[in-house]
Amino acid sequence: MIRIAAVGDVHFGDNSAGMMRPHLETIGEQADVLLIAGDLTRHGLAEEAGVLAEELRGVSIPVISILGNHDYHCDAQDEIRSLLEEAGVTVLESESKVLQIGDSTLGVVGSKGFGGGFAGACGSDFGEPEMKAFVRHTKALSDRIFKELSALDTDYKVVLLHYSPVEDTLVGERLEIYPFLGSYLMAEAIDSAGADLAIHGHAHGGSEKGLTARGIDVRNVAQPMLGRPYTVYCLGSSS
Amino acid sequence: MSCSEYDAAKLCDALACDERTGELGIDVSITGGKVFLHGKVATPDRRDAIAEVAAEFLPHCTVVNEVTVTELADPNLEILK
Repeated sequence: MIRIAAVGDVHFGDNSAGMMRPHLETIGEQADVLLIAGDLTRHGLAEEAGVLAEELRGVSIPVISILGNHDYHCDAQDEIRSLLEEAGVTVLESESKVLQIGDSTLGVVGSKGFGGGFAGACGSDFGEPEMKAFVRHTKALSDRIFKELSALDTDYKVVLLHYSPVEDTLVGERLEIYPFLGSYLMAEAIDSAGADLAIHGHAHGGSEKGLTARGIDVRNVAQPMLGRPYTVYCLGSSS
Repeated sequence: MSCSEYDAAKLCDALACDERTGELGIDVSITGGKVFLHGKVATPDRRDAIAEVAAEFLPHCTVVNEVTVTELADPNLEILK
């Protein structure tokens, strides 16, 4: 069995020291890996990421993270990534990481993802350059998710996103903003390549549990919605 | 001077962009000349900062701050398969 701890949207500020570390001291007893689903910072400042990096330094299990939209706000995403990596965190941007956990292998594909909406109410790759750029960004990231997932040869595959691939986990948010919260294109990529679990954040007012069209579990782990330091998802208990 | 729906939209932008807040998830509604703020934040100072920015941005409106602070429970566990 593989135990995956996950949380997103921790939104660290420069005065957030101590908000996460106490919850991580014994995480190794509960989980094999910690996944962080983006929006690490409030304003996308390197100083904010530096505070979080110190909280994550030396955690007893592997930590894998992606960046969220907040982490891009001040164009410091490269510095944010460097600070986290220097503290031992693996940061994925349309990349994958394979971990050996006991007798099993776990492949994690990480991508910020993006918006666009869901079947029947989504943007199209049509019209003004700005609209096409919006939709094409999601298409490009979804293509990478498919390719990275397809290339994995691991016992378990997990997709780590910021934006949501399904509507289920947005229930509670206003319908009008769904296109800014996720896109079906990511779910299509996940369903086509296959995975055991997709995790995302971003939807503070959404719901935790959902499924893709082909029945892959999706979990929203935005901390304001979870109300917990993290949740642990167990894969492989039936094997 | 009364508050309008345009004020609500612009306040949402202000709450996202102001360096004291950086909050995208705050719901702003205007009823009867009052500005109602709803959402969840991690700390009391973040909740207070939201009210501060709102009061400065719409000084002619009464701000009703119903933003709550998320108290973290213990981690839970779900067995998927």
